[in-house]
Amino acid sequence: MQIVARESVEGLTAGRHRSIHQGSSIEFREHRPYVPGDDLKDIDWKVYGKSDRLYVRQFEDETNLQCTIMIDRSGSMNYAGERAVNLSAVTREGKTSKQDYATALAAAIAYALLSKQDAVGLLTFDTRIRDSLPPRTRSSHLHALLSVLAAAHRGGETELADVLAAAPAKLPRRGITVLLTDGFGDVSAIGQSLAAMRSRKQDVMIMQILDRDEIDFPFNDRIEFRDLERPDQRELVDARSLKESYLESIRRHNAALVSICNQRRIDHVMLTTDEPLVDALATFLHRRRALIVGRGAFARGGR
Amino acid sequence: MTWLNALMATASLSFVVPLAIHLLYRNRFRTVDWGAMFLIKDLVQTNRRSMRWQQWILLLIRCAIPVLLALAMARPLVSSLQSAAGTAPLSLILAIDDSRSMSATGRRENLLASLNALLESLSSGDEVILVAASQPEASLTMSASRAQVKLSELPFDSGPCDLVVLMSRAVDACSDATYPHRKIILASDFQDDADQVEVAELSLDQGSQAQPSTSNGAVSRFGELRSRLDQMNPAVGVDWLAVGNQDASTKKSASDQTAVGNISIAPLVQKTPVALVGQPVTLLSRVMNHSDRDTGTLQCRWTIDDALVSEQTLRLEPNRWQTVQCEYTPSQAGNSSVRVDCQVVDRIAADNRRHMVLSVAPTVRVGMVSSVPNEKLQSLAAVEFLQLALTLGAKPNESPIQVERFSPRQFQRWVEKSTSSSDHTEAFDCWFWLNVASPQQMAPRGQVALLEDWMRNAPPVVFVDGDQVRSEDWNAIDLLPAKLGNRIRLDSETSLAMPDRRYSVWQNLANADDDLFASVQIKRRRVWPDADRTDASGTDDRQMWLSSITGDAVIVHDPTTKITQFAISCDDQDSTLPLRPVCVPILQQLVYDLSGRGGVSKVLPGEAIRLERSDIAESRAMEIESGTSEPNWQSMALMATDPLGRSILVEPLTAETGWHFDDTLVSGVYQFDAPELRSPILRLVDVPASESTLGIMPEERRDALAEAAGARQCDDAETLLAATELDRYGREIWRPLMMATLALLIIELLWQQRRSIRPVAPMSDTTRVSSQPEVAA
Repeated sequence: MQIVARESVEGLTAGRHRSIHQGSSIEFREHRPYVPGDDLKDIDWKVYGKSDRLYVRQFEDETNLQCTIMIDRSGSMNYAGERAVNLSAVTREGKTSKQDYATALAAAIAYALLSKQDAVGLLTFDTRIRDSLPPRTRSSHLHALLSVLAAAHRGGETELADVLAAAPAKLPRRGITVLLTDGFGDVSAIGQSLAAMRSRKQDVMIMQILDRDEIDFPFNDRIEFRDLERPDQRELVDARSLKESYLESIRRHNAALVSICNQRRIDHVMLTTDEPLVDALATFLHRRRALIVGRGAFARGGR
Repeated sequence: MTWLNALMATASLSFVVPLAIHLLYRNRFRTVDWGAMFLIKDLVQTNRRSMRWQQWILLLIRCAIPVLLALAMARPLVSSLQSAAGTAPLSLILAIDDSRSMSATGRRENLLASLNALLESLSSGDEVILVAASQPEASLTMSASRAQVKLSELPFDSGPCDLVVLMSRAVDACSDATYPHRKIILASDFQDDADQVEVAELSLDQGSQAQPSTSNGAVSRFGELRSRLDQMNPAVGVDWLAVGNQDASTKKSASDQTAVGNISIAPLVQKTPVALVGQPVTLLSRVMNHSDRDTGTLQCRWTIDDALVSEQTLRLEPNRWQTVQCEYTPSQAGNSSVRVDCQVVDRIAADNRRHMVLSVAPTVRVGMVSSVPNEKLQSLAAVEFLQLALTLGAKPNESPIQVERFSPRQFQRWVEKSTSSSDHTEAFDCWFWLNVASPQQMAPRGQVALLEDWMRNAPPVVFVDGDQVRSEDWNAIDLLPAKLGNRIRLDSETSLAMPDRRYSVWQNLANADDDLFASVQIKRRRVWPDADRTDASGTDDRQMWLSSITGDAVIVHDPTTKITQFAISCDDQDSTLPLRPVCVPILQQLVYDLSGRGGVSKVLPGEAIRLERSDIAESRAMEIESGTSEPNWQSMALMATDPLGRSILVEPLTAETGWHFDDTLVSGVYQFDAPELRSPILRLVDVPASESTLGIMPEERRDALAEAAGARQCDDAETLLAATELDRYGREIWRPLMMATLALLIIELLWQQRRSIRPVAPMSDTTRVSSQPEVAA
């Protein structure tokens, strides 16, 4: 799993030559007059050459990112379509399920964040929160994260809204929460729970992971659908006649979820398991950058 | 329903194949572990019922396809209740309207083509009964090939055809059919008046065309015939072949413009009431143009006894007619054949010529009976006045009117002789009874019944009033047109009024510049209690020919008894009529007119010509001197020569009644001759002018009649054949079955396509593209 995460991150950053300044911020804030005791390396000699006065360059304070990855391990995440990307390192049954995809993506995100000295935590849940690792910046924390991610999960029924309502207690006071889920459940209840997370100063990013089959419903024959969360529930249907109605339903559900997220200033990203993992990671990093900039602006506004 | 290939029908059991497939695959499905079950559960409930319906319909379609295919390949025949059982022999009754209008260009050809096609389609076991409108009896059953020959021999030159009668005869002929399966085909042009009993005849006297009396009972009569057919077992089918409907196509295809319309000659009319030797006779006719084109120059020729008499050139505008006439002075007595013909090419050739038989008498013989003995001068005046008026202007013994006087006793003897003998050599053309006191005075042996018997076949009688007439005796018998009242002297003299139009022969006298009738003063007259002021409009049969200016009838005529009655005497005691010049033309014209009424009778084609003994006797009387012994009627061999020149021996019906000749299908003049006769007897077979009009019955009326008769209507051979084959074999319905199969296949295919390639709505941007919350700048 670590290899998958590293390949994803390195593949994404290959060709870049950007130095990493650990422990300090690279964001310039303002100049101030030099006072004795200031570090000489902070003096801006170019300004001195122009004005014949000593000014010290002052930067934003370093704020390490505290990111908590919440990963949905309910039964519905076990669906594995034919068209999903091949993640042989993490798959258990030959086909990549949404769960596998979410696990690989979580590992990649953790690897990327830890490599930037950000703190990364992990919450897994199905019917309730199962595993919880608080955010840490240590590189050794990656091993712990991957161990939890690689552990077998039970699946089963879930109610996303209830889990999200219980999650803030496990989260740090401020930080970013990345929710890897398929988003199946009561959208309005999910919205209320997300609102509660937002009130705890959590920047939430929902990465909705769906299989391509769940979007275009490619079935035509007589199909018996067996519920992944409750295997005793089955429905024998003529998939061809059901298709149009299903597509309309999934479209409405996703639109409602997006609408809820927009209302609560929650970042929503839809991913399908047939997309390369690196693209999904790129999407995350892009959004992370936006979150940092947004929070910095917010911090300046607060001063 | 029958099958041409019944074995293939068993293939319809293959419907079990899709059924089995359906049942087999009903429990075969794929199981998919699905995450978004919460979305499917809501949908399954709403879609389950429609899914079930769709599956049932699809199953039905799939089962129906092999069934319909098998049925189509089995070639089923749907037959009506009236149909024969396939190859069962059929009795076909052909009712043919062979009237002259059917001989129009195109109609006859279409009829023969259609019926020949039908007859050729019959099998050798079938039989045909031919019912021609012109022939009184239906033919015996014959084969189809023989019927074709018979059809081709029909002259199509008979008189108007009454469709109801023709149909009725066809229904009667059904009982002569050998086979139980019968079918009637009535072929006609459905001429405009074909459903009406009486036919319009051209009347030159009236100067206009008489209107036919419409018969609105045709529909009900056809309905009655339909009821008769329905009572037969099996019911008899009826088809009508309307050949007149194809006139439009004939018109388009006709290259010769003159052949498009029709030009006809109306029946000839003799303007002069009686034709006498040496007296000019005027013959009239009309040439009518029934087309929408100008006729161009036409040459009309009058021929009498094959000698050209007159020639006339004329030109007719579209739909107009013109009178043509010929003046002819017969040189000898006897019958003459008159013909007028017009050389033109048109749609009906037969009506371009017209015949008549002109009967020329040597003189008009008038018998004059007076009740007063000749030696009494007071009565002699009336006889002398009358004889003078009738013979004025001619030399003695050369007058065209020969008058012979009789006393009542002489008259009695003459009546006795004429009724007991067949010798008509002493026949008179007209009788005048002058001042006869009573009928007993005229009756043989005083028996009035004998007089009444003689009167039934007697020539016209003119009863002239007088002071000897005893009204009570004449009123005791119902003989005279008017009951007799008293003779009265008028207080003031009154004159004659202008003649009424009911008797038009005196019109010329009335139309003269000087009113000749006004000069006649009436001083005394007989009162007619029931006939004075007789309604000229004709509430009864009596006709008032002359009246006074006060409206009192002076001359009354009863066309039934042929008795003309005068209210005044013919001497100068009652009126000044014998003293006035108008008396001569009045009385002469009256004698001519009464003598000439009747003339030579004519019959329609197909009707029998009946020759009485009197006809033979008259012919003999013209050539043989009186006193010849009674001919031997039994041994008389009468030969008929028809217009085509064929000689046929006429069999006497009975020796006592006369001869009966019914081979009269061809119109024209028929000659009857025998060694005992010096000159042949001529009779005319003629077709009314109405047969020259080519108008056809309005479609609505024909539809109503066909509906009442339960008949299908066909216009050509193709539809007639199809209708007959439908009745006989039924309708083959493999085509609609095959079409239904193809339609179901297409429906099934489209259904499948719709289910498999249902358009998938693209994901909206809001779901495809991840949303991003607004970030504060």
